[in-house]
Amino acid sequence: MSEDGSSVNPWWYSGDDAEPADGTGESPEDRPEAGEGEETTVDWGELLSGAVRMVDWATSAVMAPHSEHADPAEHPQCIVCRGILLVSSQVPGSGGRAPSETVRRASSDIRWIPIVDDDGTA
Amino acid sequence: MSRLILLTGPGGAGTSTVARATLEAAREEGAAAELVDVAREAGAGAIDLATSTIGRLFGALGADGLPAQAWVALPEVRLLGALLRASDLMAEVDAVVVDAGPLTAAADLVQVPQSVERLLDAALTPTLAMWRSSDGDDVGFGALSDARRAIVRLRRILQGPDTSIRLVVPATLDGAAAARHGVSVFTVLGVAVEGIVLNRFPKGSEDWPRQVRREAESALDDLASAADGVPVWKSTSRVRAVPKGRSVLGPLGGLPGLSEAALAVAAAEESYAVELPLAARARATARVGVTPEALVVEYDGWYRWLELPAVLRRCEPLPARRRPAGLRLEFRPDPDVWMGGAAS
Repeated sequence: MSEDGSSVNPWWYSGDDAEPADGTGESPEDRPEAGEGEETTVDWGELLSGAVRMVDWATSAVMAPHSEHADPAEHPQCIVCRGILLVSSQVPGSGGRAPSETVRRASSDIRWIPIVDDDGTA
Repeated sequence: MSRLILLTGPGGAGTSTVARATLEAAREEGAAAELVDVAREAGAGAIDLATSTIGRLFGALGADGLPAQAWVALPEVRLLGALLRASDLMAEVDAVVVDAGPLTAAADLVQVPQSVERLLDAALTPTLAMWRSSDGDDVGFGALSDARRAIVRLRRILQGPDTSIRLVVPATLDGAAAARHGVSVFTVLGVAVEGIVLNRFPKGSEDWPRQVRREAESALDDLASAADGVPVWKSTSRVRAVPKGRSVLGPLGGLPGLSEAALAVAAAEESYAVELPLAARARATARVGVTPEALVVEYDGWYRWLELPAVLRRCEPLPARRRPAGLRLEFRPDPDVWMGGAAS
């Protein structure tokens, strides 16, 4: 439960004490199984509705809090920040781990050499 | 091997006239010779280049079709187009005479292959080599490699022993100064300068004001003593493309262009030394620098990149010394590199 009392669990997470998602109060074991020869149909409307609810949950529980995380390293509990840290540590030069000496290229700038006359004057 | 003779000089010095005289003299000697006028032929050469190499390159990268004429406005494409024309002609004749126009335009002409070569070197990365289309085809690397090969060929022709520049300047003190400047520019860029034509030199039999005659003689004296040994000859109302008694195809001597071969490394007690030959003007004002792979010489805004000998890549440069024939560069072994970092 979050601080404001609303659940942050995704819609598909039942937990130990959650009611079935359809709100009938019946457990899956109590439901009659489809009889032999009876076709199992896909309820596309239900699937679409589930997808919409998943996006809603991700937005409210993951993306909205993450939007205030300026430095991923300060929010190890945030799944998005953890992902960013994981990726950046794998890619040299991407802001995570420093590139190794073998990866770093030497500066290609020209180093001008001072010139002096044979008597030592510049 | 065919000769490539470039002629250049300040605007109005008579470069085109001497170029035509050079062409005629070569033909009179029995040589098959052709003239390439950069100003006139650069546009057509650019279209040839855009149709072939650039078109193929952009096609390989998946670009939309573009008329070849769209490239003509780019100066580098025009210059490369003119050089390709000249190099193609070299395969057919004994000598190609190039009217390269004003000094600055000619220096651009000479410099553009090495500049493009460096850009292509930077672009030809392992990442590009591994970049494949969904069909597994090479995307760009092969076409860029071919373009680089063509550019390197042009650069080698320009800096090779069969190419030289002849400077055409008016017989004035300003003309002499322009010639000395030109000797430094072109030798730094790696092209041999084998002659200076003092054009429109007042003939004794002609009615020239005394001041004009005196200045022309002063210009001749100036160049005889301070043109780094480059042959100087007078061209009067009778245009003379070459000193009397010499073949117009040369070689006439003069000053060779700066090359990697000049970077002979000598080991001293605790350092390595390189004598860098430079013409007088460059000796006085050129800068030298290093990158991890190259020795860079800059003179009056023109840059030459010479491959740094391997031993010097592990060294730190010491202050260079100005010597009568150029610069003496010294390099001290870098303990951080030679000792594998143990000394740091």
